[in-house]
Amino acid sequence: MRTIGKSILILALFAAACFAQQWEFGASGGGSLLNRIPVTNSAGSAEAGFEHGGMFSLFVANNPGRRLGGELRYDYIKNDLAIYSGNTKATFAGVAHAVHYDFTVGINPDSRTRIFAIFGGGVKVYTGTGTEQAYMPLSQYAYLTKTRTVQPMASVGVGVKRQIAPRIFLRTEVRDYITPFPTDVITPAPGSSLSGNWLHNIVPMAGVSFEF
Amino acid sequence: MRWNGSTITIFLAALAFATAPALAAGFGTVVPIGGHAADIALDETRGALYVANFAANRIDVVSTASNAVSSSINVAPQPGALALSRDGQYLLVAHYGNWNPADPMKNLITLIDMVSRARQTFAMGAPPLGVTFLQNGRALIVTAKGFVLFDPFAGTFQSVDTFANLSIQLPLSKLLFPPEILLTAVASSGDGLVVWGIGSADAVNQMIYRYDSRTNRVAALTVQASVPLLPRVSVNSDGSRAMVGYAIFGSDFQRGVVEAQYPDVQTSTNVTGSVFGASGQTIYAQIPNAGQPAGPPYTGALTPRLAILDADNLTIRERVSIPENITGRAVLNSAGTIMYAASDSGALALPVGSLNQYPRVAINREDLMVQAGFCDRRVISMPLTITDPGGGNTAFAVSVDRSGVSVSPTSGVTPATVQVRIDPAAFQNQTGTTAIPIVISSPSAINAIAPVRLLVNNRAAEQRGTIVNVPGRLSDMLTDAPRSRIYLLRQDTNELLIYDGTSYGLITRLRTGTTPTRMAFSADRTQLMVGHDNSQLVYVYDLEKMQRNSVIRLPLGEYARSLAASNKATLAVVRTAAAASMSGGVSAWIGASNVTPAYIDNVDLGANIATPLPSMGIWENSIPPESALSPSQNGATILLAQPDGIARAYSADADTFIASRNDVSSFKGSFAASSYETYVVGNNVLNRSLVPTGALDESAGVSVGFAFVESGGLRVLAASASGPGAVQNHATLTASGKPTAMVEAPLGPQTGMTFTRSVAPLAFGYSTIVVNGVAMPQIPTGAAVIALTASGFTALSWYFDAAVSPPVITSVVNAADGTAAVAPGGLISIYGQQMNPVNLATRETPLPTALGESCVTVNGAPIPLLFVSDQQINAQLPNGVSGRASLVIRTPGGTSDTRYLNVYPSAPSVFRTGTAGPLTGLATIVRWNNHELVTATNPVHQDDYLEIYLTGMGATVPEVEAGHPAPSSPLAIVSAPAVVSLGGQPLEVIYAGLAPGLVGVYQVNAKVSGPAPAGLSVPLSISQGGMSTSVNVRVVK
Repeated sequence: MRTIGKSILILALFAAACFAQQWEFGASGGGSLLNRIPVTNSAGSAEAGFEHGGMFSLFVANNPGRRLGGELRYDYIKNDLAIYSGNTKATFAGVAHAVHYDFTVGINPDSRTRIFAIFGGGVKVYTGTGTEQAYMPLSQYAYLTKTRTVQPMASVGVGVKRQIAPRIFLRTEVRDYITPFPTDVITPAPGSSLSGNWLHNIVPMAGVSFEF
Repeated sequence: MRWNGSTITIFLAALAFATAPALAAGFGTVVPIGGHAADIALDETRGALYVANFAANRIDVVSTASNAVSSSINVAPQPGALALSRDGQYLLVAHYGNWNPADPMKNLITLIDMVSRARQTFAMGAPPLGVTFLQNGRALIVTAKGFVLFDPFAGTFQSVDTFANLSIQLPLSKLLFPPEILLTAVASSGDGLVVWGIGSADAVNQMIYRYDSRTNRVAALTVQASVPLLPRVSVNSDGSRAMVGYAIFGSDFQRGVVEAQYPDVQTSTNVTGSVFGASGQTIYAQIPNAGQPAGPPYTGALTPRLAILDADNLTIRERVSIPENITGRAVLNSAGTIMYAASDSGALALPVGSLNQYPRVAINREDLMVQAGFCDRRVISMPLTITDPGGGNTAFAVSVDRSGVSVSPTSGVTPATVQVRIDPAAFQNQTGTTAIPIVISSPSAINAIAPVRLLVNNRAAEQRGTIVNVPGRLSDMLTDAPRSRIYLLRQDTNELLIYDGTSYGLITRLRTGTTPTRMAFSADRTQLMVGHDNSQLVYVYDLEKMQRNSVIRLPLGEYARSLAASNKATLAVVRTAAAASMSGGVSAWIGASNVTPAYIDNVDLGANIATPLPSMGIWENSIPPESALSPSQNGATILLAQPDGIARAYSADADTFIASRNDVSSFKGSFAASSYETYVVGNNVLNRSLVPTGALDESAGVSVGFAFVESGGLRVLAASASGPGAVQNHATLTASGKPTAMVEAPLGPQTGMTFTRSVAPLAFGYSTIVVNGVAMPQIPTGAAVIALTASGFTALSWYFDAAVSPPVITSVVNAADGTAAVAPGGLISIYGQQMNPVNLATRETPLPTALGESCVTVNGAPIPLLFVSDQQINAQLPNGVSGRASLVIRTPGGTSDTRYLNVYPSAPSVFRTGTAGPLTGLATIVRWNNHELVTATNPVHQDDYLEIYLTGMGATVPEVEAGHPAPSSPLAIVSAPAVVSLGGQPLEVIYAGLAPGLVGVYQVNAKVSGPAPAGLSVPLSISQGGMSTSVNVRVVK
């Protein structure tokens, strides 16, 4: 959590330069879907990744111009770690925290229903929270571990923002949080190799924001 | 107040008129009432026990607080029975007025309103014998002529049913107690819906009845019992079961089936009483038997005893001394903590729920098995732990009357451990097992303390077999090769014991009925049937689920003593309680002893019933009760062996008995039928027509067991109970090998068991070879021979009579990780061949120095053994061994070559015996926070506490004798300090010493302080005295 705190502080300082501009704060909730990475060894093959889950987000945004803005966002993402092979699945409770700063570019800033693009970056902390056991199924492919790893994260996406009342907006957006595969929490077993390095976390969300 | 003459006078006068205080003697309090108690009723709300004082014409009120008579209620003469309504409002008293000359006005009931103290008296006409209240508020009154329902509120009567007169006339010509006069007892269930009762017209015919208030109907049985049932009834909470006298009746009551009866009951005119415990699982009862006095004074060695019984099969869990005999009704308070009973002096209050507050003595084992022999001639010391189950400090004394056996200390206070020392030299002239009772006594303990059976086995080098100790009285044995099991019947605890046929470990215990006799497989071998000597039921067990499946109800008065199944019929030898001279119209017979003749029943497993055969073919169905049945392996025939020398054969094809001969005067001992229509009874060989064609040699002993294997067989012989015994292989019935001495004697005929089945093969398969294109059957493979012997059972190799080669040692390593370095006190594994014919692990502590047929010496001294097998022995090195040591194995085959090994002061090695799921060979390193083994999926974290189990860490302080488990207080700390590191970083060692309770196993507790180097394979090293061991573990942040 010290890593998250440092990240928040750095991004907050950066955003402070925009003080006295048009500000917006809000909250969103939605789903969290991640891709799976094949893992193979001499015993066969499996897929490593995360179960589908959900997320909750808080953000504060600054919109100095008609089109360009920026927002600092914290996401709580609940996805359990998982390994899949045939009809067998091994899971391990997990959670992630992401802190990132994204630029928003409005495509039709004057419309009541505004479409915007998102790009930015930050960090994502993956944490295995489950109960460790001496034996877990599919451990011949990878180990699901109760530990924590911090990964750099890129964030891209697109959204729609519609004013539903004075200073109140309804936002829907889809983002892709891209990080390296967290091999500290999902560790390939000796002799196993991952076919892929990148994890895409598709996060569709809807929320409400307030301008002030 | 000043003491003056007048005050003292008043004081003394008060003393003179005070009711004599209750006498307390050990467990329980006697409340003398001055008279004879006929019945009791408990009034918990008012804190009173009402006692019907028959001859004194009053109801004595005993205070349950002081256990003393606090007052009396004068009533009409001869109050014989009483009951309190369930709401406590009415006390109903029945007055027995069957006088000569007759005066019907003396047959009364008195209804006392306990709130207003108003009384009403009602004439009954017939003498009232018993009363009880029902849940609906009415009372059931049993008179000498019938059943009457009485409404105490309305004062009305309603006849339910009538029967012939059951009453004795007054005045009496001889001394009889009230229950002997009324001969009736009645009790209602805990829910007040059902009433059970017993009444007698004479000494022979008794009537047991069951009244259901929901149907207002009475069901009755006429019962004849060889030992009459005294009029005592106790009922469980829902009325489904009742103990009447010494017998249990249940759901099969109307069929006259006795579910269980107390074994070895003796005739008594007055002593019996019982009550179901609060849970219904227990019965508190005093039943007269040989170990109790018939009556007061209790000045001899025998004391009255209350038995605590299992309610289903009357297994005796404990016996406690009580101050005097129970002579009437017994009741339990609602909390189930205090039992009140009518007794010799009036009433007894027994705090059955507070047994732990009274001094008792318990021993931690039933048998103490010691195996001396050709390897170890040192004095053997075995501990006995003596405790008080209630945690108290109770004085005890221990004695044993046998030279060569001593106990130290001979007395003490619980908890204590005494050492029993056995000098093998005192038994050197005996080869076999000697049973010696170790008697434990206590001046203050209230419970009966069973002696410990010390079994001293002394074996010569040529004696074969591995003893598995099974305490208790064993009555039968069967082996089940497809399931690799051994079944034993234990009579004293009413259990079916199931043992594993490979490891000889106990798998499970199943409850049987009272006093199991013999058992038999069903024809399809999916079920096991068990007959009983004190239950008119046959229990049937599902062998796949290892649980009881069903019960077979035998015809009236029958008890199954032997069973056998063929491809057609399943037969049972049943002894019967019904004498030919007994009158007809009897619905139930109860026999505490054999009454001839016995019969053969046909058992229908599907319908769970049995019916006597009308005849045994052309012969009358009449046999001695100790006859026994043996089925052939192929189910084609059943042999019936009779002690009077008659043998009979049943044929499944003909579905009748086809042969019967009496060519000898008597039979006893072994009995078996083959699949080739030949038979063995005793030492007689009989052909398919039961004609004796030969006799087996009995120069080595009496044939006490025979089991056919193909056309030959296995035979065990016993010369004496403490002798060696012998086992013999018969390739055919005319050709046999020389008898081989067994480690101990097989069980022979006992009282009540003329025939014995003391040997059985445990064959797992048959190997065949092809000669000239013809498949030749071979001797079964993977097999053992199991014999029922003096200490339990004995396992012998299938090739017990083959010449045995001396053992060969190929390597000696430490038992933890298989490396060569070993240390004193550590566990070692010896690998080789011909080291023991069967696999056997021991659970005994201290570890024996001879196990199976093997012993191991180091520098000439025997060492403790944990496990023996043909190719591996696990043992513990003694503490004083160092440097270069010599190791030798001795078996009946001879002595191995000497193996030399280097013993280091310390040689730590982590066990690789951990398992998790399908993973095996895991290092025994445990994470304290989740108590799971450290693996890749359960890695070490920073700040973890680790428990590492090893061996070979050498000397400890205090020193623990080899073979003995390590103490927990004080802990045995290693003398040489241990250093633990993880990835080169030292860990904090919290403890390094022996693991408490284990033999030769050390434990190191360490904490992962500070950041640990993460990785998939980080070395965890334990170093001590210049030696180290390392295990790779996964470490995460």
